[in-house]
Amino acid sequence: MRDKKWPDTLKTILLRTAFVGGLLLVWEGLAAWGFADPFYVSRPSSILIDFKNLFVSGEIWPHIAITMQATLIGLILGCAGGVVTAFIMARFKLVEKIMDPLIVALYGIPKLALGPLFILWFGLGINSKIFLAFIWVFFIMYFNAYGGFKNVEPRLINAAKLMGASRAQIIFKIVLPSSFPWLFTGLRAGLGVALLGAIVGEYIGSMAGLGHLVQYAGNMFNTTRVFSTILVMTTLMMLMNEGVKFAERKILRWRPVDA
Amino acid sequence: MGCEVPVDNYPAPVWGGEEVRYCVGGLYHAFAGTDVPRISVLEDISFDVASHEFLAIVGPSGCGKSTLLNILSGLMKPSEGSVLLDGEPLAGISKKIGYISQLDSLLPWRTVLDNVTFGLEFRNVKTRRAREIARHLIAEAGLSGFENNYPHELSGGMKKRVDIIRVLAIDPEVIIMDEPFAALDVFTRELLQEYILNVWKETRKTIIFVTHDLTEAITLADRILLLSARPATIKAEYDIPLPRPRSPLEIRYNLTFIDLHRLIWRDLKVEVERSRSGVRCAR
Ligand SMILES: Nc1ncnc2c1ncn2[C@@H]1O[C@H](COP(=O)(O)OP(=O)(O)OP(=O)(O)O)[C@@H](O)[C@H]1O
Ligand SMILES: [Mg+2]
Repeated sequence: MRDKKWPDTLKTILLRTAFVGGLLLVWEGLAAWGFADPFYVSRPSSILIDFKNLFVSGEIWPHIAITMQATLIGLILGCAGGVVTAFIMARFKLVEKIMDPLIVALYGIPKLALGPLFILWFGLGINSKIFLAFIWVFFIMYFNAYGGFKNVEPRLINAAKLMGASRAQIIFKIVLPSSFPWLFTGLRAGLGVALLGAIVGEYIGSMAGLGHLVQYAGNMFNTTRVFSTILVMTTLMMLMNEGVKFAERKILRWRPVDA
Repeated sequence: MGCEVPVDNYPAPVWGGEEVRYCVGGLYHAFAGTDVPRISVLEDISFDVASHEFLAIVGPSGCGKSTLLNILSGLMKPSEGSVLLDGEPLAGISKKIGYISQLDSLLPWRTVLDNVTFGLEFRNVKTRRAREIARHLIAEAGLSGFENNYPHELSGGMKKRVDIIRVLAIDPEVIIMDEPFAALDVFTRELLQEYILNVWKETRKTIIFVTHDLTEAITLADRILLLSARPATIKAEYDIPLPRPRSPLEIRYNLTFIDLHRLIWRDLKVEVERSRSGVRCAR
């Protein structure tokens, strides 16, 4: 089965590369022959050169550092907050009854609209970005972790009880590990919104960071820079995603392959 | 305790002369229903279980067998009545009891080895020692080479064996089994019957075994309790004086076996029909 699967993935990758390459060629051609104004759409070759220059000159690093800092701190706090809240809700019926409708209602507020408020509260520095990333991650992680905690097989809990497990042991040996797949789903989705939160925060008001870079380039009508910065963001996102997927494969090795 | 004493009177099934492990007196149980006021499930259940006995319990579907086992295992409190284990009132879950149900309760994220050591983690057994015990049991169950496999990589019968040795690892005095082989195919079931007979012969633990398969009950048990349709009462009790060691494949052709089967089935059939008509009335 495994040796049949490999050429299949290879084929998909080749086809995908060809598709994207084709699109880029069309884009390049349209801009080169004057069908589209490079002032508005730039062109792939300029974007790639600018992308390279950003790294060669080292100009991009401080921005990446700032954005990643806000993203990761927001992610960690959001995940921790989401998991702990979900745990309390799943554990205590009364708290759940009181809080659940409130959380759903809060979740309904468009987080984007809160951005300017956070900047007012926490200033132009990194704190407002962390908070925006946090609040976004929090809800996603909360809903996933809650699903995980609520879906633990009662059979497994009973078996552990009968073997003499204490409450704490049931939590650490049954509830948490059996929720891992859910927590990882939350983490992967959280990664995306954490980066989004940080960038949107920078975009609304900041002195540095990738969001700031995009916004500044936009104001200067530097389309190429806008695109090359977006390329940086996408690359970061992909790297982080691969990292989580790698950890997931290691930790969730026990799951059947087709799951 | 009785378990440590070497048993030299094997294979004679003289449970009557042994120590009493369980003493169950006047059990009543009712569930508070949501739409219906109360469902009475157990009524005036009293019996004893001897310390090396293999006791089977049969009864029509839905009569309250699992409820009775949940009470015997300390998972549930009866509405009324008393359960004495080794002369002491059973107050909740006890380390003397191992429980095996129809569906295996292996932890899917743990390997076979780590599943078998699971119960030992709550008994302050050192990891090294726990693994030693587990490896030994795994080998005895014929599962050598599967120590590092995950449950989803095993067949149903293998999972059941792991489920059983996981309980053997904590060395309880009583093993309670609720239709443990019901989900397995006939051939696997017979192999596991042979396996559990062997386990019982080697360890001489008390086994309380619920099944809806009368053949299985007669094959395995020293004694069978027949429960009536819900609310369950003890309708009848049968000694199974078949010689041991018994072979699940052969014993069913034994004439005593056939007579017993006919006798018990006649009684059981009445209850199954009563329980069916009860369902019809309730609708
Ligand atoms: N937690 C509960 N709340 C309410 N009613 C229950 C509960 N558990 C069991 N019952 C009812 O009690 C009766 C006996 O259930 P029990 O599971 O003990 O039967 P059983 O003999 O084990 O059945 P089966 O042969 O299907 O395993 C059933 O009618 C069931 O609907
Ligand atoms: Mg049952």
